[in-house]
Amino acid sequence: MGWSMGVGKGIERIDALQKVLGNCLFAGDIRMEGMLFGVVVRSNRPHAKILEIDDKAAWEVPGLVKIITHKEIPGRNRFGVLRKDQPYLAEGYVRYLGEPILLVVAQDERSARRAAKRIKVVYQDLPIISDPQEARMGTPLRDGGNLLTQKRLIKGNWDKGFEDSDVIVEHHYVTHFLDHAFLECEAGVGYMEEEGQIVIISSTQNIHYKQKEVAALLNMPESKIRVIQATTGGGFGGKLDVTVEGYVALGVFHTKRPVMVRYTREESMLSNTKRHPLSIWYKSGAKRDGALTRVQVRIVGDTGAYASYGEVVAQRACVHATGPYEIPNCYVESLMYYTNNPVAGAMRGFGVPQMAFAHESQMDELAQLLGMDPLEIRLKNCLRKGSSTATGQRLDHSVGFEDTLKAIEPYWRERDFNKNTGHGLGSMYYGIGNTGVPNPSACFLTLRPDGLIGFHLGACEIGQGSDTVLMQILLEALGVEGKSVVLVRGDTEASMDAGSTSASRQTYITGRAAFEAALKLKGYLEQKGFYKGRDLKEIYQEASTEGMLRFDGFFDPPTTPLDPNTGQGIPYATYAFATHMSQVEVDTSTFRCRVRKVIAAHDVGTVINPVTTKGQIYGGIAMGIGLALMEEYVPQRTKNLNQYFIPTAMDMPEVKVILVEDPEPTGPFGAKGVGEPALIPQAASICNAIKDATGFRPFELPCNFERLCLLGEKERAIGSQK
Amino acid sequence: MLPEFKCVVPRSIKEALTLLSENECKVIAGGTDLLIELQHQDIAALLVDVTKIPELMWGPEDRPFLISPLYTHGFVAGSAMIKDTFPSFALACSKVGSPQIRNMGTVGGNIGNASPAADSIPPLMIYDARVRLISSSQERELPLEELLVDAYKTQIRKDEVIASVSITPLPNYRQGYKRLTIREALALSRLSVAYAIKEEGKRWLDVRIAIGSATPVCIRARELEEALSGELKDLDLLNQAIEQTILRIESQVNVRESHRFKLPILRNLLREILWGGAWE
Repeated sequence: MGWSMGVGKGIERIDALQKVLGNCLFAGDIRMEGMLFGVVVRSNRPHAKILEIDDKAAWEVPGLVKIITHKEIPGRNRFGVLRKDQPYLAEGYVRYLGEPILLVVAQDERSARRAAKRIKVVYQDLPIISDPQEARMGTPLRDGGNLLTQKRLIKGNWDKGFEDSDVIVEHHYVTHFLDHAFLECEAGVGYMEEEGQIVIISSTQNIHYKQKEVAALLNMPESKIRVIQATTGGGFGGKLDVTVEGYVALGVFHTKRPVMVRYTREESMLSNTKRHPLSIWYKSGAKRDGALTRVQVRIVGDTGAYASYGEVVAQRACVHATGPYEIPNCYVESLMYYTNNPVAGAMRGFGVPQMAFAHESQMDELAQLLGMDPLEIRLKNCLRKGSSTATGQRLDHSVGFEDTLKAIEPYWRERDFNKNTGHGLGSMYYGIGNTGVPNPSACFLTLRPDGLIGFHLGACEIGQGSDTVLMQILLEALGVEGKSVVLVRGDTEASMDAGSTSASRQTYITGRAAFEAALKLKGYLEQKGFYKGRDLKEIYQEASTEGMLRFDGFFDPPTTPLDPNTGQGIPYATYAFATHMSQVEVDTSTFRCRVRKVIAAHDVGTVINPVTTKGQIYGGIAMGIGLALMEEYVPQRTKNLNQYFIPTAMDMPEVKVILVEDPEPTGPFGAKGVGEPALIPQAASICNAIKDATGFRPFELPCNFERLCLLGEKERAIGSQK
Repeated sequence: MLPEFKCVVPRSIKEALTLLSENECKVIAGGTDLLIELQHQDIAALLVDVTKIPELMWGPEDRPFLISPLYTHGFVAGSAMIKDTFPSFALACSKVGSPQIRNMGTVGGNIGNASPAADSIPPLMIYDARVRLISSSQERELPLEELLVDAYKTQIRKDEVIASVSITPLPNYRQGYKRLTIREALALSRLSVAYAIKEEGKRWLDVRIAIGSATPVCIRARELEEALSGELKDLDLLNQAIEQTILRIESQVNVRESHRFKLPILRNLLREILWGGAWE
């Protein structure tokens, strides 16, 4: 690992070799002496009172050690990212199928599962609310009613009618629950140190948040809880909420022995949070020349039984509802309701992929009415330098959206018009980091007696490549070689809070924090003659007497809170932009769609590592194909991956990635982010391509052959009536 | 998680049949379906793994029209001889699951499991497959169509194993297999059609169609075959014949939600297959 690891180089990921060799331990691979196994007993009813729990038969299973109920929780039996509303273990009442009731701890996994199966729970069923429309009118599921949150975004003369528009397009779009289907199911191991500290090693996207939640659960100070991130096999937002950590902690607390909790795929699909289904009513108006005049959008979402990231998704969907276009007048209302469905939480894009499906369909429909080319209408309205976004934020720098459209243009102009083949565009913008709230990141560097620099990082590497990219930023800023730096990562004991690995924020925010720390250390090292060849061990000696062994870096992107009435403000310091063009082939007999080719142009700011950036985009496209054509989680019905179809390599199209770099001044070396932007425009571009190929437009996702066939039959019936 | 279970691997057919007649057992012949089923059970019956029985092993060059129940899908898909003689069968087997599943799953297992979505069953039907069953006390042969009773139900008794499957080649027929899946690989057929059609000029001489995943048991579309075989190619006749098959399917299922799309797609597929791909 030499100096060539710097910014802009497509270096090999620093974790690649150990992963390929199988040396990295995932939480589920960890074995400890005397380790017990915990299994969560879950509700098999979507809404019920628990009348009685009979565990007699379970105690007949040899190896059963402990059954833990909510009564054995020493601290707060509630968790949640914004609202602490979700119980770890039910208190006589369950709100969704799969809600945890008890924790069974046994000598080994087989005994634990056997004992868990023998526990009898007597329920009294209660009426179910399975749809946000019912939730709006129906019996309240909790005090304060079923409405979790209501967000609004208004701009310009939003209350005027559409009289100023020459054309109006109005449609209703529907999306469904999705599962993250990460490769590695949730798993964690915990143990107790001699001094009573509880250590949890788990598959997670945010160690510091988990530390706080577990401390509250056990009623222990945070210093007594240490969370370490195991090698993590994907997250996509599904490992942001507390998953196994609470149960591991409870097991360790009560048995004082090491405990593992590891979900099967069925448990994972039953219990994990899902992508929010959104129902979107979208009305757009434009002038004859294609200039957008106004939009009116109503979004109704289903957050399931608990809040989780429901408010975040409602807010993000609202802010991003207009898409990457300059629209003088808009009214957007975003409502999120509780139901008895699975808990919907964070999933790659926080509601924006759903919104992109709607706003990009609208753009193509407008173009068609106006007889305009879909690319032209986007170029006509695109956000540029100096544009004002829907929240009234003036964009002064790093607005590469037009460049992404221009990058796609030659491919769009030369697209071939084969039979049964369609082409579609999808564009998006995405605010990097959390919405209108502080979301700082901190890290620190140390000088070590062994003459190395310690890079202490609290950011979770979940497979996306943040370790590599952050290391590249550090090395470039510090002007040292990779072999001089030791990465100490993913341990609350040895790092500061970097915030969650979510919202495409680690490269931009933690990257900038690393950059800041590097500048401080660099200043010190310059002073000490390091760059003139002085040895780091020598410098360490001096630094330890001077008390200069640690250099902190911190960054919090400049944002303002959104006005609660109008939604106006500066929710994000910077935005990523992208345009995808998809070529889709539709089999006219079977209505089966295959994506053949994708051109993806992204403005991610400065590219730190072109190889991992492209990797993110390939993965986003795969996930977008799933969202558009295959993936659908049906509550109470979908149980495993044989019923939930994620694309395989065989479904991948030929992909060409074009990286447009419009540097972001506040980012490290000008970088922004790509994690979620990679996915967001993909499904939208596929739906536009399907319309191009078949003449009919999907309004509901996923657009599998079933839906497309019924749509085709309907269109044919309408056609024959005419 | 799998329960603890015992598995015996008999080395002769006699040993296997004795085991089956004397114990409560389940035959395992690859296990790509059975092991998944077992995961949901607390206690498992004794498994008898038949895949090492020499009497059930032979190659296509030894007995070209007799399929061994131990042929894996991967073997069938890759055998030049089977591809040549029974192309619809070989093609269907090449579509099963993934390479791992194709290398474990067997033809005998596919028949015994009797899934409505079994890929090997519709093509075997068009080749008039007959299944030979043996037990320690008797031997019998049944047409595959009769053997299958309902979804996941067959006439195979607990003490019987599938000894062989005999099929008849159809030289000079246009043969193939089409299936509808949500994704390219690792997916069950939502609808499948195996076909063998003998044509001469503008006439269908013989038409053989078997349909999977539309009914609890895969079916030969006999009414359609009879209506078209020997007739001059005619679109109205074809459409009428297809409607008869659709009616029969509708009578066999209490038209599930999924048939709202399956039936229109089946119509299209049958037209495409029978009109020689020139259907517009």
